[in-house]
Amino acid sequence: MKPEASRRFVLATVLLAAATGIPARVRAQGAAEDSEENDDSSAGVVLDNAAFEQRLAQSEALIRNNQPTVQVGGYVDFGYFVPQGNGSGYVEDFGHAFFPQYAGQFGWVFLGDILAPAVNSRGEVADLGPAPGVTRFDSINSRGAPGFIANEVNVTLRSALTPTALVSASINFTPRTGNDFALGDSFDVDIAQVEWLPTDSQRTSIFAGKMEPVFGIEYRDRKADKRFGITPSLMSRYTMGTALGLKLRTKFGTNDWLVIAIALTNGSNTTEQFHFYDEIDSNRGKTGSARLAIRLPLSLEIGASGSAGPQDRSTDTAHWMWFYGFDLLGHWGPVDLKGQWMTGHADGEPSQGVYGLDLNQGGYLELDAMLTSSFGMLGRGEYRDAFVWLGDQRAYITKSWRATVGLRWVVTTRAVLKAEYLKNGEYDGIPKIANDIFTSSLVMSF
Amino acid sequence: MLVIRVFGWAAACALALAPMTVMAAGEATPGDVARLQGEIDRLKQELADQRQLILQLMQAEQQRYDVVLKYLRAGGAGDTSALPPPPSPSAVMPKSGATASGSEPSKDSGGSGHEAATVTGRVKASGGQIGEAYVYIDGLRSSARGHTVEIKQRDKQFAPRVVVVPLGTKLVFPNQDTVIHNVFSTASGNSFDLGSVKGGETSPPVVLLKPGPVEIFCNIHSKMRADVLVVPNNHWTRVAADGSFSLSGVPVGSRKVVLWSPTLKPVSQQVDVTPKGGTVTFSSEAMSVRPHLNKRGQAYGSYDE
Repeated sequence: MKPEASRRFVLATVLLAAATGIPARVRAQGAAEDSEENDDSSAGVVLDNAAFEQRLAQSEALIRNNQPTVQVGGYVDFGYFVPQGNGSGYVEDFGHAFFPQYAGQFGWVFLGDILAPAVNSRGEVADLGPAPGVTRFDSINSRGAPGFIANEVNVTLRSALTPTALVSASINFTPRTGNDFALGDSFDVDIAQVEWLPTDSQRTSIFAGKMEPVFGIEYRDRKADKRFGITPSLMSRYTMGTALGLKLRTKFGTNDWLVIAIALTNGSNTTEQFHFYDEIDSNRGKTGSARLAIRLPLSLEIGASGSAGPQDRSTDTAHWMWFYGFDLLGHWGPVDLKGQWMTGHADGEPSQGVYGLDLNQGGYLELDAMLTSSFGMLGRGEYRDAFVWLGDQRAYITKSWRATVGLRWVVTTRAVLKAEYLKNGEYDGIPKIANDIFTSSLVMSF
Repeated sequence: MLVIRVFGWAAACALALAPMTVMAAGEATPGDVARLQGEIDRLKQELADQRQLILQLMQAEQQRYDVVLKYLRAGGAGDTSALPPPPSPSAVMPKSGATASGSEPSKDSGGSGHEAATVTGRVKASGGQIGEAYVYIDGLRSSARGHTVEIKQRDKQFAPRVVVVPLGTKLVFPNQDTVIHNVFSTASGNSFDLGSVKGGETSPPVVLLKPGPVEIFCNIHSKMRADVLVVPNNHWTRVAADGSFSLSGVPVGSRKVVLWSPTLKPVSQQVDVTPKGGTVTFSSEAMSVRPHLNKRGQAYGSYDE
């Protein structure tokens, strides 16, 4: 064959090869042409894909298996507050000038709400005031001065015993002023529980340990990183405390339209700092509580709650404490509506230093709205009508209202800056008390 | 497909020209020889161009796999937006020599030179309505890469809640809520975790690399769920409310037809697709949507709603 003819033959062969072999490789590359997945001509590429998928599965397993068994979370809540007056929420009725009917009945009568000037989500007040005849742990004790405060450092631990049994603990550290060369810092454990979801539907939970209450709805937002604003409502002292015991919560129907929760605990769901709380029971009786909620159309939920049991801190079971109330929860896009009304009573036992309570009624209505994805505002109106007494020693008369406005700025996914102004007012014979307060909070989660 | 057509054309020319050039060597005039020589040179150049093109495609694919592997070895951390998109033939195809028919096949088109037909059928669901159900052909690969599909988070729900996407599609998850979401999936081969995303923000896109169903959740809100079906090709269609479906452009041959729905048990059938088409009837049972675990494989807890 002549060199030129040979060259042409080679060229023709190359072109023939190009026409038959190379396109098969192109198809195997997935260039938009249908190809059989078991086509031998693409075996090389299929092998690459298989190797890639194998490596991918290995990487996923590696990540899955190396996840920590304990999930650590929490937050730092740092704030600045400006109280009015001496920072306390009440005044003494000297000489029974305002309520002469109690002259001779009680040694001291105080007017106002001791927990009105709250500065943080814990419900701590700017000052507990100069209460005579009692020694109290005044955790902030600002004496009316504005100041910075590390409200709380929270550490939450969570781990799964099984995929359907979760153990969790929440520990709060509260740096405060010391006294007489002793540190004032303290810590408390507000959650130490196991939650077991025994059914396939996971609509039923059984809790054991120190756990959140079932009364009302405010407990869901009791922590600073969950709460839209900063301060809790005037009713929170009766509903936000965590108690030791057992709890069952279950949901029924389409879209969980019926929710039932019942609990049996050592004591009530009053908050730990309040003088009705008893973590370890002092009597044999236990407190039963329940909530029944119905989820209505239009993202509305209404609930009824109640609790009753022998009064905390009393050593016998003759003196009872009970509460009941109704709540409302609405969620419409960026707007949430929350409301609660309740009443209650505690007999008290003066010989054992146990306070009595007549919570005639009280409630709040709160509207939270995110105006943009980062900025939101809240408005809350509330009132509390109560009478608290300890034998013939002292009595607190509260007929208070409060209007709160607040701002919320979601700085990042882990940092939220909040500010609130609380306008505290009195009515029905209670004199005006200088107990308004401005407070702010930067909650940084980790 | 454009690449293949050009190659086919080049090969056909070569087969036609090669004998002519050999035969003509002894009798052709110098002008003929010069013309044929020019033609051969042009074909040689075209062949070189096509080889270059194939190399570019292969290199781009290899680079992409390397980056994905590097990303996975790093534990999945980092900015996934840095991942290069899959190579598209059109992206590297030289403008000259391209033909108008070189576009990727559209849905249900079949798109190749294979003989294609229509598969029709009906779905019967016992114990429930058919709902949102899809039928697709398994065992064929024809990607429609480079597409982007948006799944929004709004009112603590995904929208849309059911999506079918071809292999290689990018998913983006704009958070249109005012609360933080953490979108994730643990689907084998398609797992991802977008982390916490503020309202008003969109996380980097997710590329789904493996055909099959992908359940997508939020790690914060347990009731959020989206079901995505990654199909290996463009041969898929939605089942009508009365249970009927029609899937055109299916290459003739024995084909695996699959029924998928988030609320029905998946079923498949092998069907002989002739030039006249094929028919299939599916019977499937309703499937209740079971609660899922969070991204750590744990129950959410009753208050994480």
